[in-house]
Amino acid sequence: MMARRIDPRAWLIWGIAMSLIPMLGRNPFPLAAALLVAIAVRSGTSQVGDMGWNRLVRLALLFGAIGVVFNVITYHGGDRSIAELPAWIPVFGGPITLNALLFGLLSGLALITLVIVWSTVAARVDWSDLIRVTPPALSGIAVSSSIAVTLAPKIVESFREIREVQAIRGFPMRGPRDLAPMVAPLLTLGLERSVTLSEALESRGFGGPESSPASGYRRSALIGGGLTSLALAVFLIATQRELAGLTFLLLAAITAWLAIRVRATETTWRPTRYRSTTLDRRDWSIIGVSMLSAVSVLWINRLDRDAVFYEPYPAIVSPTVNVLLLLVISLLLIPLAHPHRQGDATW
Amino acid sequence: MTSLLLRAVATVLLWAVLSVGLPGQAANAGEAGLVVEYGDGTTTYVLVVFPEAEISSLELLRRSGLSLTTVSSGGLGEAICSIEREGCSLADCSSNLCQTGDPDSPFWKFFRVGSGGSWVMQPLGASATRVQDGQLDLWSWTGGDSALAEFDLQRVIERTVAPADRTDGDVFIAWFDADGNPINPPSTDSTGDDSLITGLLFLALIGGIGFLMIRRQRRLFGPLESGG
Repeated sequence: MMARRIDPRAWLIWGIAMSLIPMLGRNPFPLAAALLVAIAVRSGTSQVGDMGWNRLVRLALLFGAIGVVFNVITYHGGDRSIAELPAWIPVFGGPITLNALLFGLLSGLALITLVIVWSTVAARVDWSDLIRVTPPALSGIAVSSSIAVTLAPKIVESFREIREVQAIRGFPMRGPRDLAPMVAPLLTLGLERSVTLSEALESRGFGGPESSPASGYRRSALIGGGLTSLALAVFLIATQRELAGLTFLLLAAITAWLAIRVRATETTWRPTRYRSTTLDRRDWSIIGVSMLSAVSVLWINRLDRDAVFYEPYPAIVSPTVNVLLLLVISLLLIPLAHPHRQGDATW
Repeated sequence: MTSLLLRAVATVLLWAVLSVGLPGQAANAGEAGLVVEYGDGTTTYVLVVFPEAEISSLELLRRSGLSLTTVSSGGLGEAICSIEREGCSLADCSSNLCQTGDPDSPFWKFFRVGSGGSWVMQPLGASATRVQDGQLDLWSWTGGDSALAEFDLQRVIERTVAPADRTDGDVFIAWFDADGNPINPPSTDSTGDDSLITGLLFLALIGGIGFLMIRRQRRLFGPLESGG
């Protein structure tokens, strides 16, 4: 029985493949399929560290509901009017339509799917493993990102600890007014953690001066060229000149790779690595299937836009059902295909 | 003091009467035509009878009964995104008014019949352009000029087969194909019930497979693991 965690690279590629459907369109069938897959993978790989992330999912549900209400009262287009707000009310005045309600619900569904997907990825990824597999030239970015990603769960954890301590002292939290005494200790804990973290990073030589700044201009030129190529690629793809756009995208990728190489030669700082991280058969299968699914989704979207895209304006019509797309999305259940034991969260 | 009060009341009453309109004004109903030319050459002709002296072109479109999607462009008024099933999504409409980088990419272009029956493009949008009795608007899904030849309101009346005794609020509508033959309004529903049932069955299948995989995982390792 395999006891090793799934590699963070596999989780990240799975997350990107899962995000395509909610980002590309609002067709309820692929959206519902993506949500089902996300819930199944989240439940099937559940672990103790999920508790903090579950709050984020509940927050997404709240924001989704607010989005529905906002869409209904601010957009008045559509053919199915169900009520009417007086026209003299600025912005909100006008007919309330079933179309706006449906679009708000679909947008909420997309938001919740994205939050479930990325909270699952964030909870399952071992950030120390991710930093280990990052090229040395990008270690600074990797460390900063890992600190940024753990910020929210750390705040939630601190809040829970303070609440428990306050409850022991006979001060249980009953409502929003009881939040005031929590602010000062939460701030103090946050500052203490920041100071400790900065001392730990400094003691490890993080953020030290560059050893050979002379080659900095080459890196700047490559970064400038890469960003220009990327901007051109986006423009060309947006204006239906995909082939030229993809060429510039490839150029941007090559320039980025060269910039990383130059960066690697101009610094002597290397992160200490005591063990190497390798991909096993299960990781490769997740990466391969996720990439196959992502490419297929993009291809189906190009051939049959209505398979992914849906808008209930100006009239509510039945959404298109593309069976092949649903099958392709179901491939993303792949993390559940190999039984594995998840570890405890590392924060 | 009393005369001042009486004068104030009289002024308010006069303002109220003028703003509401005298009863006789409703009899002078206006009527305007609307032509909508879709990308495939299908054309809709609409005759709208209204009680006001003038309305906006946007209001004329709304009163026509055609399905309409618009987005607000701030002080410029409403932008037309789609009429019936022709047009673009709200996101594309908000960002670039349905246009892509292609100079010939279509959008809902707004014309009005000028002198001599030719179509003249309107520089102001649907919200700012006013429609009065006898005028004729054209909305064409094109990146260039309209394919429609010269036109006038009388031909719209003929095509919509509007009766002679028209009253306020009446709307007459007719659809024609690219060859000029009358057709029924196209159906808005694109997917049959069978297709929807298939979609629901596949969703149930995905949910079922996911459930079985979760059960297998939990049977092997328990409901919640904490060990590494």
